[in-house]
Amino acid sequence: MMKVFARFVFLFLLLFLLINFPVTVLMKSTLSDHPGHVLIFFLIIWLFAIYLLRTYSKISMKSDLPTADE
Amino acid sequence: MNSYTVLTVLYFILLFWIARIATRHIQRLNRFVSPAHIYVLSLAVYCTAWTYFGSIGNAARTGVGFLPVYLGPTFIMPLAAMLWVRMIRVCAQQRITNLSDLISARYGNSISLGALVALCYIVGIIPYIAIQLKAVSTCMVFVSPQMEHPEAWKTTMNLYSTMVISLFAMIYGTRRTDSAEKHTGLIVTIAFESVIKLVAFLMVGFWVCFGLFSSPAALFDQFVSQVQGGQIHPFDAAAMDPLGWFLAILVSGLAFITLPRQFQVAVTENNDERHVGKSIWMFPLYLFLINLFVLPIAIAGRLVYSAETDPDTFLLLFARKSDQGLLMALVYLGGLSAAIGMIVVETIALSNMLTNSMVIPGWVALSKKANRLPSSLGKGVVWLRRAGMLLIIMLAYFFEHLVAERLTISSVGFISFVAVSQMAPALIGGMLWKNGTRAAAFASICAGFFIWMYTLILSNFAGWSPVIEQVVQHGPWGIALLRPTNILGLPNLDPLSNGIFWSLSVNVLTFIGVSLFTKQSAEEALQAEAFVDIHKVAVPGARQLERRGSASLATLRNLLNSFLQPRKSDQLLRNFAQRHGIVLEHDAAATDSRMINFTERVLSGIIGAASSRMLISSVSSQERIAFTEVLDVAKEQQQVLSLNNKLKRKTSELKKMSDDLKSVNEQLKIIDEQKDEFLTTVTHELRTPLTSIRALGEVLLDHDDVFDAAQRKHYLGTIVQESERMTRLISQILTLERFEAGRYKLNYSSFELRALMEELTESIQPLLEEKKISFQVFMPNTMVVLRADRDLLWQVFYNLLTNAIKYAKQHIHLHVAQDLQSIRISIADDGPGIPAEQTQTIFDKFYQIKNKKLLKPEGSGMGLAISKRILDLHEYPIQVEANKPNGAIFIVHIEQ
Repeated sequence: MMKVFARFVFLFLLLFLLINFPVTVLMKSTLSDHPGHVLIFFLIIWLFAIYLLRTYSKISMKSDLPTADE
Repeated sequence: MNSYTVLTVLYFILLFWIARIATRHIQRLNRFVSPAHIYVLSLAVYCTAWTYFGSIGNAARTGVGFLPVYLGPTFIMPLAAMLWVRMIRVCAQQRITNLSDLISARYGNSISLGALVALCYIVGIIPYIAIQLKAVSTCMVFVSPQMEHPEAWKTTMNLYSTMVISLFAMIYGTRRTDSAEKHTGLIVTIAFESVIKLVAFLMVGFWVCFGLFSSPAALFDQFVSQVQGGQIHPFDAAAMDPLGWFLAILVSGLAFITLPRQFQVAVTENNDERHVGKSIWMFPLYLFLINLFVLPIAIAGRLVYSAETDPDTFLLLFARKSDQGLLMALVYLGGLSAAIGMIVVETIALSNMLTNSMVIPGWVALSKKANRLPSSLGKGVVWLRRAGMLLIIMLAYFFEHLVAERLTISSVGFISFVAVSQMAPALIGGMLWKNGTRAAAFASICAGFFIWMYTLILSNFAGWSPVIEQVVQHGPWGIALLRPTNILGLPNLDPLSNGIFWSLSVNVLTFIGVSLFTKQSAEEALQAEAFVDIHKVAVPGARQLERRGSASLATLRNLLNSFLQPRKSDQLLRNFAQRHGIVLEHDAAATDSRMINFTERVLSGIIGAASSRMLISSVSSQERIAFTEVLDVAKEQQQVLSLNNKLKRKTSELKKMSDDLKSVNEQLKIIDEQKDEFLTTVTHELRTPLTSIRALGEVLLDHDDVFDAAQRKHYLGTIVQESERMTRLISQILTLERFEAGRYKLNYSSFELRALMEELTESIQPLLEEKKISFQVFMPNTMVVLRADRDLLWQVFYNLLTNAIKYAKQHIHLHVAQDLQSIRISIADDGPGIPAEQTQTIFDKFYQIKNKKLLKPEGSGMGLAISKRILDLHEYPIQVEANKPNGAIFIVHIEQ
C-alpha cells in the first residue's frame, strides 16, 4: 500500500513541478509579451505529462490496480 | 418558432433516440465504439459549461489562469484510478450506488453521516447546477431573435429547457427500482455529448486561428503589439501566483474524485475495471484537446471585441461571426451538451443521495417507530427518486434566478469545487486508512464545510445585510484576524485561496486528530477491513465475518416485496439459495443467516446501505458483533493470507527445484547417451585391429608350413602395426580421460614460440614431403615467449598440423600474430573445409568416426578432442573458420 501511494505521490510531484514551475515562475513575466511561445512550450510539457501517465498506466494495471482474478 | 428552437427540439429527440438505441443494442454499438472509449468520454462530463464558456472568460482575464481546473485531474489521475478500482469493488460487493452511501457504509453504515454528506453535497452543488442552467438559457437567448421583452423570453426559455432536461434525467436516470443497475443509454448519450462539445470547440479554435487570423503567430503578434501600444491591458499576472496555483490544482484534483457526477460515471456505471487503466492517460488527453484553443480564442476575443463584452460569450460570438450556419449550430449544441450532460448526471447522483441517505432512512425510522414493516413502495422508490431530481433541478432554477445572475461561471464553479473537496479526507482516508473513525469523518466534514461557508459563501453575500458586510470587512466582533477573506492575515492568499487553504487544512487535521483519539465500533472496524483490504478479502480458506441472525424466509420475502415485484423477489432468493446449496424451508422460523445478508445487499442497491441495514435489523434478531470478534477475524485473515503467501513461495521454490532437477536429468540422459555412444565407438575401434590380429594369428598358427619367411614377416609386421594402433588408441583414451577428470597437472615453463614451431616443422617434414604439400610459417620478428606446458602445447599444434596435412591439397599456412595482450596462432589449409554447423562438434570425441559422410583419412578422431581439452586446461580458446575460397582455419588465442 505504502509503495503504491509513494509511487503516486512521486508522480504527482513530478507532474506538478514539470508543469507548474515553468508556468508560474518562468512565464509569469513573459505571458503578455510572448503568449504564443508560452502556449507552445506549455502544450509540449502537457503532452509529455500525458506520455508519462500512459507509461504509468501500463505499469499500474499490474501492480497498483490489480485485476479481480489476481 | 425560429430555426434554433427547432434544432433544440431535434437535438433533444436525438439524445432520447441515442439513449434508447444504446439501452437496447449496446453490443452492436460496441462493434463500432469500444466500451473503454465510451467510458473515457463519459468521464468528460467533468467539462461543463464552465469549460465551454467559462475557461475562455478566465483566459481572457488571466492568460493561463483557467488551467488548474484541468491540471488538477491530470495530476491526480493515478490516485483517482487507484481509488476508483477499490470503490468499484466495494460498491459491487456491497451494492453501493452513490458517495453518501459509500462514506456512510465505510463508517459503519452511519445514517447520520450519510445524511450529512448528502446535505453538504446538495448545498454545495446546487449553485453549480444553477450556473449550468444559466449557460443553457444564455445559449438559447443568444441564438434567439431580438425580443420586445428579452428578460421574459429568457425566463421562459430557461423554464422550458429546465423542464426538458428534468424529463430526460427522470426517464433515463431512474428506469429501474435497483439503482445499482447500469444506465447504459445515459452513459452513451453523455459520451456522444462529449464528442459534440470537443468537436465544436476545436472547429471554432481552428477557424479563429486560420480563418479569422492568417495564423496563430499573426494572432499573438497582433496581441503583443496592442499590449505594448497600450491599446489593451496585459494579462492579470496575479492569477499565476504559485501558491494560488497549487491550491487551485489541488482542489480541482480532489473535486475530480469527490464530485458526485464523476463517481456516477467512473464507479457506479463502470462495467470493466480495465477501462479505469485506460482512462489514466486518455482522459488527460481529452482535457488537453479541449483546452488547445482556449488561449487563442480568448486573445482573439480581446482583439476583436470591446472590453465591455462578456468574455464568457466569445465562443458564441466567433461562431456567429464566421457566418457559417453549421459552425454556429455545432457551437450552440456543444454549449447545450456541456451543460445538459452535467445537469443530468449530477442530478441523478444527488437525487440518489437525497432518497437513500435522507428520505428513505426517515421513512424506515418512522415505520420502525410504529413497530411495523415498511408499507410496500414498489415502483414508489423510482418515483421518489424522480421527485428528488425535480426538486434539485427546481432548487437550482430558483437559485439561478435569485442569486446566480451576479456571479460568473468560473467563481461559482470553484466555490462548488471547494465544497465537494471537503469530503476528500473522509473519503480518501476511509478508502486507504483503517483507523479513520466515524466521529472523525463527521467532525472533519462539519469543520471543513463550516469554514467553506464562512470564507467563501459569506463574502459573496456581503451586500445582502449590513451585519454580514460588517463581518466580512472587519471580522466578527471586530477581530480582524478572523476576517472571512483573510483568516489570521496570512500573506499572498486571495479570498479563494484563503477558503481552500483553511477549509482543507482544518478538515484534514480534524480527520487525523479525531481518528487518533477516538475508537471504532465493531461495525466500523468490520467495514474498515472490508474497504481498505478490498484486494485481499477473497483469501481462500479465511473465515469471513458475517452477521449471524435469525429471520424467517417469509419475513425476508415480505421485506423484498416492499420494493420489488413478488415474482422477482422469489426468483432472487431462489437463485441465491441454489448457488449456495441452501435448502429453503418455507415454514421454518429461521432461515440461513446468509439469506439475511443477501437480502440486505439486495436492499442496499435499492434504498442504500444504511437504510437497508436499519430495515434488516428491524425484522431479524441479529447478534451484535463483538469488537474482539472483528479483531479475531482480521487476525485470522491476516494469518491465512500470510500462510497463503508462504505456500505460494514454497510452491514457487518447489517448482524451481523441480525444473532444476528436470534440467539435471536431461543432462544426465545426454551424458548417458554419450557414454553409450563412446563405448560403442571404442569397442568398434578396438575390435577392428583385434579382428585383424586374430585373423592373421590364426592363419599363421594353422598354416605355419604354407607361408615362407617373407610372408610370415609381413603378417607379423601387420600384427605389430595393428597392436600399436590399439595401444595408441587406448593411450589416447586414457589421456583424454585424465584431462576430462581434471587429474592432469600442467607443467608450466617459459619457452620461445619460434623454437617450438621449428621443432614442429621438423617433425612434420616427412609427412609434408610424402603428400607434397608446401608449408609456410609467418612469425613476427620479435621474440614471442610463452608460459605454458610446452610438451602439451607441442602436442596440440602437432595434432592440428597433422590434421591439416591429412586434408590439405597443396599448401598449409601457419600465422603467428602478436599484440600487447594476446597471441593469435592460426593454421590454414586448402582442403574441403568444415561445414558451418559442424564447427562446434568437430572437437567431439570420435568426430571422424561418427560422421560417415566425411572423406575420412586415417586417424582415430581423438586428436582434435585431446587438443581442445589441453587448450581448455590452459584456458586458451580455439575456433574454426572457413578459409576463403576453400579449406579451414583453426585459430588459437593465447592471452598473455
